[in-house]
Amino acid sequence: MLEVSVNGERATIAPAQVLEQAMQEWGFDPNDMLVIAVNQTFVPRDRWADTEVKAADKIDILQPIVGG
Amino acid sequence: MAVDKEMEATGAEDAMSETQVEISDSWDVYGKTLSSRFFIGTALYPSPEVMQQSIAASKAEVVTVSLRRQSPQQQGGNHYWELIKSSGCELLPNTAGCHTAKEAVTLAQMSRELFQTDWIKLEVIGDDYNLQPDPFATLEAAETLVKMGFKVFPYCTDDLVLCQKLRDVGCEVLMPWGSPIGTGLGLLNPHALTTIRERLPDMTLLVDAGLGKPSDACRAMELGFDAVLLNTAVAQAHDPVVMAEAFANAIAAGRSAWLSGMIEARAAASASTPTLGMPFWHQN
Repeated sequence: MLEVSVNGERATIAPAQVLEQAMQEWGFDPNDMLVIAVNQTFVPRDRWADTEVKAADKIDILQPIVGG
Repeated sequence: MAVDKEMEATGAEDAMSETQVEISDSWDVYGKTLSSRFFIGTALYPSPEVMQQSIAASKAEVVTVSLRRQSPQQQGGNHYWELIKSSGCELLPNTAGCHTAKEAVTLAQMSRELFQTDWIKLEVIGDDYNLQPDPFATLEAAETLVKMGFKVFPYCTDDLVLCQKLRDVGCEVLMPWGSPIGTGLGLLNPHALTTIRERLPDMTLLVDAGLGKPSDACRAMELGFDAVLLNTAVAQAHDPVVMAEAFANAIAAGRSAWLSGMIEARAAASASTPTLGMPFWHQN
């Protein structure tokens, strides 16, 4: 299992998983209004199915919120 | 009728334009035509419903939003976001919380996909106590974002040279602060804001941050600013909905004042009532 961080928390994922699969394992629904960055680099939605999660990746999965 | 005579005397077009100020004071920002000069924030309200009612009372057509980490447990619990969507307002996402140009650029890219808009309120913070913009990182991020096709609304200090440089890298809008975010201190440096207005007459200018009372917003509009952006002053008022309306009225008042040519302040008194025919003269 690979060790990664998801939204600042430690998480694990099997090797050779793409983001679209991995996020579901972590409890996220790809159909929700979400955006993803890996290691502070934006990964567009149309790349989720072919971006593989690597060991030590720092993944941010964001949603809309209020703001000023 | 008195109105008709006035129109003959002063010219029909001038009289017509007086009554039309209220109706047609629309303005364009990055290709979008707006009639309200009030941009309102969506944060810090006591409830989603009060936020929704405040936005409606403000008559704002642009609301700021943001993006943050989601925990899987929160799915479906985003009532605030549902109400923001139903407001019909244009979204202006922000890069609040970013401390570097790189963070802000990445967040802007994510925002563009999430909210489906090129509009971005660029906020790069240089100090965690006064939450001031980092002028250097803001300029760096603005240049990058403009090249990537973003329509940048930079939150900046009231430094003229910074504003000029933001213009030079392609920003069409500037949003200098009134005072630090959330302080309610109002316009701490009206001289600097006036300077920016005079020296950058073709830029779209909003005062953003630190407004506390409706009179602050009125003052900003009297200085000739095109609009104001505020959040805390409404959301944390005792009655946000009524306060939103008060700000809307103040912004309209300040705008009308700017358009109607205010008198200059002067040192010496000057009587308004005619002195000719004053009774009791030379009788004592």
